[in-house]
Amino acid sequence: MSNYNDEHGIGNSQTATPARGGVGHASQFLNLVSPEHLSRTPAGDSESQLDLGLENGGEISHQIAQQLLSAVSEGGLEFRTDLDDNEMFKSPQKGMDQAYFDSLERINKKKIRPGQTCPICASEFLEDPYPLLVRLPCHKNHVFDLECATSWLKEHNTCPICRTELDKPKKAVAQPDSEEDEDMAFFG
Amino acid sequence: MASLPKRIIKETERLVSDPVPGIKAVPHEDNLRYFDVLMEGPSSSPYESGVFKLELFLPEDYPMVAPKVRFLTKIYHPNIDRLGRICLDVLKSNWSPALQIRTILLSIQALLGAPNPDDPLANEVAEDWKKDESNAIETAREWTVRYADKK
Ligand SMILES: [Zn+2]
Ligand SMILES: [Zn+2]
Repeated sequence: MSNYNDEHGIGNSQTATPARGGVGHASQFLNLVSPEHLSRTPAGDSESQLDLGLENGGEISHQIAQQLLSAVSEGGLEFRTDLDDNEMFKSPQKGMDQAYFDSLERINKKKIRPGQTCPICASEFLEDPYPLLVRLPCHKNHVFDLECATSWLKEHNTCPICRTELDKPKKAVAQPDSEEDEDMAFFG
Repeated sequence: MASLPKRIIKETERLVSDPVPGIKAVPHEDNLRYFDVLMEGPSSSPYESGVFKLELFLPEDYPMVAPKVRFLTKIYHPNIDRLGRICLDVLKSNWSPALQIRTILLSIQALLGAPNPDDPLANEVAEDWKKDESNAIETAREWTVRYADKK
């Protein structure tokens, strides 16, 4: 793994390694959805092609579509089948801890619409008579099975839907008044 | 073989019942995590006359990790290497479990329509692309005629 990480400028040092022989570095991509990149998103019709099939409303689909297009316009990392690519994303400092999971707002099933599904496992929340659901502080509709959210967040610190970076527990108090502004803030 | 997660079953059903225009993804009968993909080149791109074959595999940890996708048809593109590997961040560090097979395939198709030779992972094709874009586009068109299936 160390070769791969070094080659791609991933690891303790964020120093970019010069590209050689078609293998480059990835450090630029780590901040791919920064406002600077988003502003370079190609405008117009191609956006509408991106049907995400999410059931959480067009607003969210639009967000991810923007990111996808941004990602496309930025290119991306080299695809390598010979390595377990995901190993390098398992750095422990990126994930959230048990205290964070405990701090997440639990959602009562009465607040769930019939047919609403978990964006991670695609199961209908209400199929389980006693669903254990949490809402991430980034958006009022970003609700997941606790188990699904935990699987993702123990190794990542971003919301699966909007990629907002999640704060550690102390700062993670949701601010109802600012909810509407969250999305705009994300796009800077 | 371990049973297939419900999410994969749902995604597959929707890929069949409500296919993405210009993209066909069919799972292998003996391995429902392995898909044969046919992708039409986007119009107004040098790939527009062709249909490209890809393979897509859903690893055991999917959707916590991205699908593995690779072009099987030879293609001349600055972000796709000789082995068909695709330089696309949503397949790597920008993967999210809220993305799906269909969104990944759409973003690959969009990449065909928007080559990015300024990608720091630039390979020889990207160099050619930057030096003489119209010549590179011509080469991409020729390769499409030579290697891809006709639309
Ligand atoms: Zn779930
Ligand atoms: Zn979110």
